Amino acid sequence: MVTIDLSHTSITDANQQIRDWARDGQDVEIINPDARHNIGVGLVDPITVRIKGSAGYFCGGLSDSAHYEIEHNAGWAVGDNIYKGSVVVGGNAGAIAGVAIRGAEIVVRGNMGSRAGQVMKAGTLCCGGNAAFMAGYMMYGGRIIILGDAAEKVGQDMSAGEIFVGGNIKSLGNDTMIVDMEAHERDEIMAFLERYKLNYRGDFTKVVNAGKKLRYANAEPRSRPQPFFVSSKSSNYWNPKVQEDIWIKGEVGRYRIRGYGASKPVPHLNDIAFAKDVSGVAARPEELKDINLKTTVGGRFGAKPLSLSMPVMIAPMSFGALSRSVKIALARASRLSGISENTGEGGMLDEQRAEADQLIFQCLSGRLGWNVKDMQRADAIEIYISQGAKPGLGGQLMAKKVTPELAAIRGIPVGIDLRSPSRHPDVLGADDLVIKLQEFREATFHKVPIGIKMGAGRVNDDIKIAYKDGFDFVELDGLQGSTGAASTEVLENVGIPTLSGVQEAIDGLAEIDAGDDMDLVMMGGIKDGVDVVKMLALGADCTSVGTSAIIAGGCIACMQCHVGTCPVGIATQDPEHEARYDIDRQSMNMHRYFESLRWQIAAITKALGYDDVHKVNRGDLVALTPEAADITGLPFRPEHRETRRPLTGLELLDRQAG
Amino acid sequence: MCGIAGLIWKGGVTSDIGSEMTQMLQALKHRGPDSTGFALYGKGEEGVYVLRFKVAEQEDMKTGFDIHKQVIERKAMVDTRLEEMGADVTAREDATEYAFRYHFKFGGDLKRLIDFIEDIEGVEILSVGKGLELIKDLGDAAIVAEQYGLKGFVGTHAIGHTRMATESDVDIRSAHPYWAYPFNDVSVVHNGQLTNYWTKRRDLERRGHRFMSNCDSELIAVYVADRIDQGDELESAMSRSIDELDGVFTYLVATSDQLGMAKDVMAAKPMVLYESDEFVGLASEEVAIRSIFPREIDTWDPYQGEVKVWAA
Ligand code: SF4
Repeated sequence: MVTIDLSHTSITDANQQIRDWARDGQDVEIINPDARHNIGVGLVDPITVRIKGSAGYFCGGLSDSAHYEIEHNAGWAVGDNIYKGSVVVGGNAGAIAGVAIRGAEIVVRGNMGSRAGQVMKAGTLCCGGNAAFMAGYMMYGGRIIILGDAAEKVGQDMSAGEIFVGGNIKSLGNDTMIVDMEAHERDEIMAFLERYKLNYRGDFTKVVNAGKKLRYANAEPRSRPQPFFVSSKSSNYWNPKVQEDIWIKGEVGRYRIRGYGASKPVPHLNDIAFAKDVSGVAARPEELKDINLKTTVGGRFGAKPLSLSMPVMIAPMSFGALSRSVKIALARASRLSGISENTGEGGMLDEQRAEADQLIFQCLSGRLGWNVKDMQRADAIEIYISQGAKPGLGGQLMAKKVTPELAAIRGIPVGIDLRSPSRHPDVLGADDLVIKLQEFREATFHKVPIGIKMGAGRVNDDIKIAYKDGFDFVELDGLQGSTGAASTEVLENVGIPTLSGVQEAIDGLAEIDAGDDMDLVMMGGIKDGVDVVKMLALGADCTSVGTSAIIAGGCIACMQCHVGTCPVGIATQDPEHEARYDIDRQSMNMHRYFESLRWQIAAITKALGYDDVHKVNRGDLVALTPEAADITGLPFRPEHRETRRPLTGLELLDRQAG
Repeated sequence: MCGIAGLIWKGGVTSDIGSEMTQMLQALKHRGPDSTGFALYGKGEEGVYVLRFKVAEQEDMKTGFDIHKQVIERKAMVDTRLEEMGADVTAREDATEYAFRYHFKFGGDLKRLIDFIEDIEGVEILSVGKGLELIKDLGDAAIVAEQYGLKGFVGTHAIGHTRMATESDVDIRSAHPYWAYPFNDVSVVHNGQLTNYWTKRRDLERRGHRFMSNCDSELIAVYVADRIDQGDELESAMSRSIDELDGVFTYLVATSDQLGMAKDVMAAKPMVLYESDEFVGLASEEVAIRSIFPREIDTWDPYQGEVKVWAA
């Protein structure tokens, strides 16, 4: 047993020491913990950590196989996301004890705060005293045992798992019911209590999901394919798309859900042109080889930054929304082109990890597929707050896509219409986010860049929070970004255009004299290298492409992503449909598309007179429409529409080919 | 985007609450590094008001044109107006070059006096009260406490706030604590957001209250003070706020002799409570309470919708 005194050791140093001792098989005792946050975060070895006092937030969080004994109290989110292992709290625990656990045993001898066991997937959370409201909120599995009383809304919106309450239940949550307990369950609980020396002889009330809300009452019918370009023709109100929309609502009696992005026209990068005539771009690759496109992202606080061959990343898209094959193809294409791939929600695939050189691992509110081991093998971490297509809303994955394999990686029941929570359980403000970020840094030893992904909303404020909270990079997504499934009204009406997003971000950072150490990655409707250069000139440091990568990889833009029977095997989990996807061929298509971006970015950079793409700036741009000028503050030069019209990607390719 | 803390010594005990609150807020610095605010409740003298006011902001002192001359002029104007209204100033202290602390005796209409003084351009009254002294400025708790000499401030109870400024208006006026103008000795700190801010603000404006900022915490201060003015006890005023104010919030209110806490029905904002026979400490995180208690103590999270009030 080794002793670490927190009165004169920083948390980061202490956690490093604990990891080192754990590798040697030594148990550790922490004295003077004084309710400090993130004690013992990120441990993946089977040791015991004894905390002689009280712990702050996230004690024992993001760990696997370690055991923690906290003599006194624990703050918010004790045992966050633990796989195997245990935490025993001698006193009381704050809110969201046992949040997102995946198999751990968490025992709180005293009382526990609200939303205990939120989004937990497996394992046992046991409370010797009383539980505050919404115990088991949105839980996906596992068992909660409460020996004392439970306050309001027990099991609110739980999908699966069981809650056993010894004392009184103030009220039940939505979609829950009380059922009889089976004899073996009682035996198992008694054995559990025995193991942790909790004395209890009374009865239990068992609460489970009532199964009324797990699926939408009416499934989304498959509509006739109406490709994107048809539906976006908004010249009259009652076009076929609108009619179809009304018919289907008449059938299902609720809002509609679809995939893909917004179809309404908003000011975008096409409304901006280069101030200079770039028609004389260099065509041959030899002429462009000295143009620097290398881009690093995330080096703000000394973590190893992502090192990209050009200012382009692949946007976060989940295994779930997309098939395994597509995730593999994307990962491979990213390696071939020297850029990064992103897991999106729902976990990291081994093949994806193996194929991608640089992989960003995303953490979402439901903590689906989230775990410390994958964090530690990621090249960057990204906490998802929202996305451009549906800011403020959680993800949706319709039952058809929730296959046994997918459910296993995410830790959820098979075949439910999965609606991810819209908020993180442990981040309810910028102040909590600081502590969460610190937890991630501890779990990844301060070596991995940590970014924040957000949909454009109140960008001016949000970007300042991101900066002040200390993120290494921001991935900011506008309305033009696509999604696997969202309500149509949200898709078309809620987001903020990418152009406004980037401008507000730049302005916000300038207002607080933020300098340029936090990298800004812009996404949402980036379709070619021309767009990339314009985005960089507006002030972004990098861009990210999702929809265009998918189109390059075979998507025919039929907008049926939510249905789960994607005709080309992309947005599906159905083996028959997925079989249509040719990984080798499509990864090469994507790779070639990325190379076309590289070519265009270099050609335009050179035409603008620079040898480095990071030298392009706002002076290189003019606005073609009053709206674009108003949004960006660029000079309004309608005359450029004719003489300096930017080349489209296709034209540029033509020129390059010729 | 902040951390809040409160403490109260029960049964008339006094202590160095200036240092205690400084330590608590310093422990919450990570929740809000930009500015720090204190509302400290001293014993006060019978019949004597304490006035805390500023005639400029720290930022202006660096950049403002001719600011040093203006500071002198504005302060002279405050002196003249106090005299005109018949206030008898018994002590004048410079807290900083631009912030002052006066003691005065006055028998007239306090609200009129306050309005008359605040009418001077650039002058902001931080607090007026028999016990309350309100201090807020840029920097962390240690810096502000040092600058304003808060160490050794003896009193019965205090609340405080650390703030991360994210609005484009980084004006210190939108920093906590809020004094519930024009009510003596009522102050508030708050963590969270109100969603029915404008509806409630219009209600209160119709009742004749004025607002200095667009900050929802100020609304809580005015709301509670207004209820007390209508005859509610602090506790019932706060309980009513749980029903009438919408959003996620945890807040602390102090009056001349009481400290209260309220937590919204969602309990979405943190609050940890420690209570013993002689002392109550509350903070966004336990780490703050620990900073003044080296020994092990028992703490817990108050329940959602809970209101508690303690007397000094
Ligand atoms: S082809 Fe597949 S991925 Fe593309 S829009 Fe259709 S369903 Fe979605």
